[in-house]
Amino acid sequence: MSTPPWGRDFHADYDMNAVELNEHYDEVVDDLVRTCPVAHSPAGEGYYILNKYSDVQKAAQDWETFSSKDGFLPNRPEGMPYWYPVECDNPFHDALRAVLNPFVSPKAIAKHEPAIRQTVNDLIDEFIDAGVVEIVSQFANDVPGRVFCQVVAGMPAEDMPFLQRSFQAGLVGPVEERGGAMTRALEHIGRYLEQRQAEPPRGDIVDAVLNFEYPGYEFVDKAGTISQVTQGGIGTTGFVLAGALYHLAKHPDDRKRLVDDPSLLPVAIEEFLRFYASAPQLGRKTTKDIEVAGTTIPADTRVILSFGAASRDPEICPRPTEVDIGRSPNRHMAFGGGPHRCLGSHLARLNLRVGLEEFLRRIPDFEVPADFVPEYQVGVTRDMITLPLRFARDRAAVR
Amino acid sequence: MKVKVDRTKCSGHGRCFAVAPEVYDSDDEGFIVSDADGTIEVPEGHEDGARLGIDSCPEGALSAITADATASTNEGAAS
Repeated sequence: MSTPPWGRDFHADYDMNAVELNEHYDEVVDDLVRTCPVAHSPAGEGYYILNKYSDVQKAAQDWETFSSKDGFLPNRPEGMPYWYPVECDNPFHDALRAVLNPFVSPKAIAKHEPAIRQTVNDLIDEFIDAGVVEIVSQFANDVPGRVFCQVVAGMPAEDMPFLQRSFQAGLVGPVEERGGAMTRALEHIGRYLEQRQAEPPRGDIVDAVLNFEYPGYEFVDKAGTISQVTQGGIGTTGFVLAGALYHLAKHPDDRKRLVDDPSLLPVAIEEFLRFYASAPQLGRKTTKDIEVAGTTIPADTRVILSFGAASRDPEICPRPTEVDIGRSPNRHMAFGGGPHRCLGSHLARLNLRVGLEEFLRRIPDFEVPADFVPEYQVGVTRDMITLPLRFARDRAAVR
Repeated sequence: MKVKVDRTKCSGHGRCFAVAPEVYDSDDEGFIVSDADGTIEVPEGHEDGARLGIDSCPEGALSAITADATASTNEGAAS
């Protein structure tokens, strides 16, 4: 095919980290989902990309053919440790999930709502008098970060500034400093687990992981599990929160609807999850030759499931390029699918609902600067780099 | 009306009991609850909620069993 406007042939020369994808993600995946069910990348070991909802769904469910044992990253750096439960198969996967699920099921997390509301309001207090806020670093990533570390995993409040700074630097700071910042945060969590091991049990998710025994699942893996579930929710939930606030800043009618009737938020949040796909492309590896949409993919080949493209498939979603805050049903794949369905999906939804309820209640009127153009970064995850908002201080409600 | 659950496909997305709590329920891990035969009896008057639950499942794990005993899922439906 001829080179498209975004300057790269993503059908035959896909690259999940391509700079063109940062700027043109929506257009690229809209083209792929309509015209190229199976794309290919020659990068490194080479990999295929599945784009249609039905193919992505089937592959995610068929974990025996599309294995997670070799991780989700194409061209995985040598020696990089695997993260459990995301990078493993059954029977270990289901055994570990059965230990974790009861702490993050819809019924289990409902008890955290008052503490989440408190956390959200504490964060809003920090900037509400200023009349301006940089959402990504001052709100969107801090809500899920603080909620998981402090509310769910019981880490001390005084650790939060350090962890928040480290995660923020690790996610969207200068690229050369990201690895070091993330390592510092993970080491901190490892020390917290050592401390918890020496304390009486609290019956929470940390104890459940520490007590879980499985051949080959060592202390370092346990720290990895807690780190993964901590980190897994921060930038991802943060991007959806930032995306929702960006949309609502640019669409006053939608904002007014949600301010006037917050009971519309759960349906609207599903649309923000679909549209601002925050973990849009995760890999598997084939265990045998398999045909997908007419393409034979050989055994032992990396395959990326483009959940971001699948959620914009016109076959399951009419007018997929539009944000429709009343869309129902909304069968998106923001949280992936199959047995590896995002562990924290229900906590993410609760964080988004309480985060938006409190933000819209206290700051019902806000805008982005006229010359602001959002910049995104895409890889396994997708982030908005910054989101400056301005609001009238005299309109902002007290808590 | 009854709803048939494919337990091999339910992955605990929880959309069914989020959109129609009067029809669907979840267990301690967050998976759907059904009768021993893998079906759910829809309370009279809640058929629309049951269908919204079926159409909201990202895994296509739910299907309707209506009076004429034909099952229909959301597979391929642009609803």
